Amino acid sequence: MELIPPNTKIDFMGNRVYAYAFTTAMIVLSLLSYPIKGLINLGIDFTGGVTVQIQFKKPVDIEHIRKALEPISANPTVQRFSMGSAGEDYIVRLEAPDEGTEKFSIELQNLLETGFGKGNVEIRGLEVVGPKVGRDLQEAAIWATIIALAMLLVYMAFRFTFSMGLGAIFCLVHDLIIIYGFFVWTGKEFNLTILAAMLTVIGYDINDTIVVCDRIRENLKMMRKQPLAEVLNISINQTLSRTILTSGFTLLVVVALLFFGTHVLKDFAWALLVGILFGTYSSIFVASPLILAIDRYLPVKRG
Amino acid sequence: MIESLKTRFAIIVAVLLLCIFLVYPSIGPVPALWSKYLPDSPIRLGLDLQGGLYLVLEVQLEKAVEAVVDQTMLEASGIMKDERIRYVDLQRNSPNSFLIYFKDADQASLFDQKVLEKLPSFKKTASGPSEKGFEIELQLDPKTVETIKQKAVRQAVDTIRNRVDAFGVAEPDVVIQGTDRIIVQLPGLKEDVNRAIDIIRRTARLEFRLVDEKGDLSAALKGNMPQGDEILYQIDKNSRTGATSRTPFLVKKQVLLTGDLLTDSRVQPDRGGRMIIGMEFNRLGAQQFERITGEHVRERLAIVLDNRIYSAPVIKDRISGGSAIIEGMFSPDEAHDLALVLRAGSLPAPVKILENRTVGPSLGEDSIRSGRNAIILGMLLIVIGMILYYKWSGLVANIALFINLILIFAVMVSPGLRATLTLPGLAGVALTIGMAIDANILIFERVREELRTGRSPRVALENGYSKAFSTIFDSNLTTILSALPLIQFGTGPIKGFAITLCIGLIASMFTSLFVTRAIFDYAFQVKRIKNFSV
Repeated sequence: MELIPPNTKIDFMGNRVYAYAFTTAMIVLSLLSYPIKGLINLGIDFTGGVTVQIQFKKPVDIEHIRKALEPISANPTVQRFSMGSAGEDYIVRLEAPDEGTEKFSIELQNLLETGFGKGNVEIRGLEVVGPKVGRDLQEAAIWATIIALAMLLVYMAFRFTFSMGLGAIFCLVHDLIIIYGFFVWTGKEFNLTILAAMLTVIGYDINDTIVVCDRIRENLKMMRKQPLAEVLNISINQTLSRTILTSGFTLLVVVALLFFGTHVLKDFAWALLVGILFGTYSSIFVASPLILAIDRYLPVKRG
Repeated sequence: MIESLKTRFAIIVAVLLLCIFLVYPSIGPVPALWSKYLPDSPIRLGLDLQGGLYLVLEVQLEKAVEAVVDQTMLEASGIMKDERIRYVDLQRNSPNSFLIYFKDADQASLFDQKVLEKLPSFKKTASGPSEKGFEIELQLDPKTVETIKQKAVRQAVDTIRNRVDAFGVAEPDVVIQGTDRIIVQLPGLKEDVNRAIDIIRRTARLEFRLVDEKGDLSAALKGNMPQGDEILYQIDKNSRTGATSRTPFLVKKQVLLTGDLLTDSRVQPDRGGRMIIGMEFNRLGAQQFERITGEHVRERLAIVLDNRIYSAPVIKDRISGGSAIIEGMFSPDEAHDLALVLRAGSLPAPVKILENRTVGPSLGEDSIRSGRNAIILGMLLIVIGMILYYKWSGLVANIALFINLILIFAVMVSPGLRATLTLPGLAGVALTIGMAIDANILIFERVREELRTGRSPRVALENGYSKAFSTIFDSNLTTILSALPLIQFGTGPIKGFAITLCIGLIASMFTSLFVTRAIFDYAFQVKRIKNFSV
């Protein structure tokens, strides 16, 4: 079986204006989320706050839950996310209690039990994050991303050429912007797990770019006379079937996660899905055109 | 590459056996003989998978410093009385410094000569006349402050460790994070999470202090506090009506004895059948207790725990033998918990809960199930896809993939590492399966290219492996590089994810390069196949 016929010659470089247009459009679309939808919906990991996962044995009304929790929170967000055989699961988000978190969980339990009767309600999970921890984690998250990007740039520049490194990093930033936009547009919560997904996408994406760059490096040694655009074209075509196959297989797993995951894993899988799709796109349509574009200033070494 | 096929298969079989040996205890019951002599620890599940409690505490280190300064103030006033230096007042003006007001400058210089040298860790930072008298400021030197803080955090960790040991959780984990934070993890804690939190965060500072019966309590309540005194309350709960009553007491600030010298405490019923807590002092404590009770016969001794008075009995006679009791209207649970924290020792400073994540056991079960199903489905899809696309070679890659999966879990349970499997970790395993297959795709695509140029199957195979190697190496290494920051900073679950991802990638290098190559070479050399099904 062959997905891409052996002598496929798609002129990626010749048609790169379309890639530029699409890339620009996607980035603009992602950034437009800011004036229209505002900032990303940061989870309690980064802002501090309370998330409670509650299971009700009998069907309940969302308003009823809100009312029951009124004494501790003026405006909780209540979201139903699954209906299993054991009962209905809800996620409730509250602001962090002002006065420590010590008595909070006891209070919560009492309120729920008076509202719905003992035995009808179970607190399955509770997360209370103080604002101080949230700020620290925000900082740590930014550092983790910067350090990862910096290490990759150094490695790429060392193993390949500086322009390839720049191309790869530009790809990554492109993908991150798009995942960001996706999360703002869909209103999904950005938490630590999503951060992990983003860093995975970084790793996955650099994989794709490296496979192409590796081919470019190899071909440059043999095709000394051909123009760079042609070498890039040939390299992308040669690796095309691998690029699509690997993405396809990895996406199969991601779809499995989407299918079976609980709510945490689902959002994680969404981030991966978007990241891998656009990561694959960017390793073909973003990295190589960029290497070609900056060749005048940072020529790729031949031989 | 090792040439001999026999050696290569021997290595593969050995690795596989070792893996199965390591993974087996996580799956099935282990025979008694095994658990006696061999490692048999099952895989360590993260809090999000087995339920439990995760706390981040902040130790209020300032308070530990304040306590040292307060103690020094008491000492200083004692020495000044002995030396007959006349002072007006002592006052703490910051966590690490205090002021003394003297009658005049002469008294202050007398203090400089006679007392200052007895307070070696304090320095005089200011002096001069003020409204209340001649004022000097004494400050704890920064080095000592640092030492106090470090000691306080370490002591807090030790104390909390002692306390959580009592919960009977398999692997409690108490570690320092940064300068003033403590992370407490109690995986598998199922019942009474709130009670556990109460026990952990309780300061449990037990003090014996005298009640100032000469002082005017009602005047003190109006704000006219006698020097060296403070007001503390005894809170009683009526067990029948549930009503609480608060009784104020005027007690001396000076602490005669603390709970640090206790060796044991336990719950016992008194003659009326109520719960009381009996305590035993060590030898030094017993001596001090005897001296104190001897000196203050017919005075009231308040038993203060975390600034709350539990009882204030009149000392009838000198008490020797080193035992004391705490009375209060305890429920059996309260009494049990109180005895526990007293036995484990007090925290050197109060702690604040910054983060609290509780996962119920049923939620953990759900997570395991969904993670496992996702892995099985993802794996199944890949296995079918690989066979459809690469036929026999696809099957070889699938064998490698399967070994890879076993290898990941084996490394995770291996005694040296004992990594924790978390929910994102399960996602990491699933994802690694997808990424591990990439190495074989790279190789097979190369082999196909080589075959197209007319090379013989064996040469194509050889070239495919050697040309794909640098790509595979680069791509795996970069992925690991991007996961490293997550291991460094990540909290539990995220760290688990990054670790599984790294292990998976390293394992995939072994399976997708070494294992598949051995199988192909076997097919060519021993089975002498002519055509390459790829």
